[in-house]
Amino acid sequence: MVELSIGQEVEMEYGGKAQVLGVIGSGGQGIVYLVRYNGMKWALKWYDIDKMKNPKAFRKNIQNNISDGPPSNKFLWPKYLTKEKPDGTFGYLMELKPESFDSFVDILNTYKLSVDPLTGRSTKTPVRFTSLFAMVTAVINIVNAFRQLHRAGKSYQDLNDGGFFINMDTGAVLVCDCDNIAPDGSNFGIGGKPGYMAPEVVRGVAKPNVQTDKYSLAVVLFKLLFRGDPMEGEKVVKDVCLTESSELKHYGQNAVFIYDPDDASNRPVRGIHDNVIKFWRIYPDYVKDAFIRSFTLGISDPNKRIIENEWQKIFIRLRSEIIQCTCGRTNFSSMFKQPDYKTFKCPQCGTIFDTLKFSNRKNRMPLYLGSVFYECEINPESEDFQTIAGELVENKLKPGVLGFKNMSDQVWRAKMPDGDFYDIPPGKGFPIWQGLIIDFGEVTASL
Amino acid sequence: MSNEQKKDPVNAVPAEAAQEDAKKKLSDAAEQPVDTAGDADDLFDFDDDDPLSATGVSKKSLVIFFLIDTSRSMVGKKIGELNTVMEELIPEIRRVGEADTDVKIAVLTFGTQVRWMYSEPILIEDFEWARLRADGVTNMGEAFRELSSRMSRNSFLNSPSLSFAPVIFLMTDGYPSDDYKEALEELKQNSWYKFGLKAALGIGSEANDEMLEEFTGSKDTVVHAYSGGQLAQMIKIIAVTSAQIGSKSMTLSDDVNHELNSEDVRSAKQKLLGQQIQDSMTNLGDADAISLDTGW
Repeated sequence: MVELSIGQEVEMEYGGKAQVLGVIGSGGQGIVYLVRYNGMKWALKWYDIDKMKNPKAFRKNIQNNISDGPPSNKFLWPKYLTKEKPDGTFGYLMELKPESFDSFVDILNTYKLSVDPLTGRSTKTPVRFTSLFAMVTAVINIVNAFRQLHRAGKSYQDLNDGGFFINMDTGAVLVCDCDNIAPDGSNFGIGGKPGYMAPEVVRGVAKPNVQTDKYSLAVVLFKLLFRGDPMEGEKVVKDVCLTESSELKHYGQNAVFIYDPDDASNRPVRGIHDNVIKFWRIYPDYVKDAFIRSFTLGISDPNKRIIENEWQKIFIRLRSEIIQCTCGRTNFSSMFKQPDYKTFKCPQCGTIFDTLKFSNRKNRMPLYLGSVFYECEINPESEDFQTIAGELVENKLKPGVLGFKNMSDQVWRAKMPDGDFYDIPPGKGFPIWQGLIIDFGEVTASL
Repeated sequence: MSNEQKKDPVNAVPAEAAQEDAKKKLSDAAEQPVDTAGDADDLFDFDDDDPLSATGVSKKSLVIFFLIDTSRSMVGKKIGELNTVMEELIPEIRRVGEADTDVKIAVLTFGTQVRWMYSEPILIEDFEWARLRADGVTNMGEAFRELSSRMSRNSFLNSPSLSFAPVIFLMTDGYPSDDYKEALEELKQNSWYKFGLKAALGIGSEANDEMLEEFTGSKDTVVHAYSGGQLAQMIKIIAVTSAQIGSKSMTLSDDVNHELNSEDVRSAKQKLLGQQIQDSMTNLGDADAISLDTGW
């Protein structure tokens, strides 16, 4: 391919020139450069068109994507195309990833590497979610981004660990490498990254589409939560050397989920797959069941794969089941004791947690100082999983007295200890007590 | 971690012992019942049930072998150019394994003596190039034997998890002084070699491409550098391309419109390597016209 050199200028499709400032990275399809254009810094993806089957169709597809715009602000979407060179070479500009985001690859590695340009020596910095909330929120954000994309009638095609950046403090997600995104049913030559590709794509009997995206999404979620490969267990490790044909076998023709309840031939191996062994124990059954379905029935029948909306509900529930105990233990309620159906107990310090029952779901939400619920949990019409609607706080004037604060913009009604319902306008609060009932409108909640 | 520490078995023991300990703990924990009932006290292992405390994902491993001719004829510009490009190259390919693969490097040099740069393959993140000096004759056959003995589960390829087949990159400027043929036949019996990605670079006009082709098994993966500029570019192209292909699984299904069988995918990586090396060569300009064989 014709590489660009620092200082070189590239003509843009609608005028102006982008000047190359440095190299950001390189991948299978080309090189990403740091450039300056119109006084701002951008990332320029510059293609190796020799590796493309049909560069003209590929470029046209990016042009269409640019004019359609991104499905939401979670995408680092192509912004401007460069002018096509006489030999057909081209690239596109996208916004730079903000500093506060880490790559999914670094997250899986649990560290990032910075190389001193003078000595070539490398140093490692840990990369880790700062809270369990941030982690589960990141999962919800990833699922939501693909829901938005698929609703726009497009498929990502090449879903893999290189495609995301995550803010480890907030769980905010940016989807990058959006250049292979195409209308569902079209494919411009990308096959995908092995390990993330659906078995039918590995076998050569299907091209990437929305259904294969769903498989890849399940792999991404599995890797983020369980920190391992869903198909790499004893059966695969026995091969010692992963040759092309063993890969076809273990990820295509005869892919077996490591926790397939009906096939124990590929269980994780201690000493190699310790993460998965540990985390499989921690997550509640409804999460594990969703992965079991994705990677057993969903292997051969794409229609059995979990749809994004279902994943979203599962992880919104999981987030509402996080307990932060005063003793420092933070975990899902499934990892706390349950003396009776209404209470959880910390196995470490014995603290008891009451729970709140919402009328629109079976599971109960554990209550502790700082526990929150979101808009989408109290309003069936809302899909807003980011705006906190209510938080359990301590009364500022009466230390030790806990109550909910209405942080939404709706008026709620709450039953007080005197037996009457009172209006709770935004910004106001009310104590929790054994007979508490909260009326959010369509949804009610009681202790 | 410096290479010195890595090589020192005395330092290595406590770390490994600690790891074993941790592994044992994990396995004990995994044996406990996984039912969700909250009444089983032993379900709760306070030390190790933090959903945020993960270690890196289990990785596949790839060893890149560099076989480098350090015979007398390499003295001067050739070895100088080679040392410089290798020093620059290593930091550039540090991230090649991404989250999938631990890439390690082993360097075997052959002159009169056959010698490993370090006593075991070193993780690319920690690898530091030790500048090579050239002297003596070209004992390539002995190097093949040494390589074959180390390409084994009991020696350099001892990763407990999955491995990719190794990358083996041979660089030489001359014809072997010893009887390499028998040694090469022995090497070809080694399964790691059979599945490995092989590439060779002939340096200067003395290097014999036919012999190199015998080594790689295909014409596409043999290239020839006649000038210092070419040498540097070609080492980079081959090392980067083979590391990229070697450290990743293959996208097998491109260009195929039928259900794949194992015959379709056989040697897919070696073929791809050949293709990509040849593609890169056609774009390669003659950056430096002074021949490596002139001016001595």
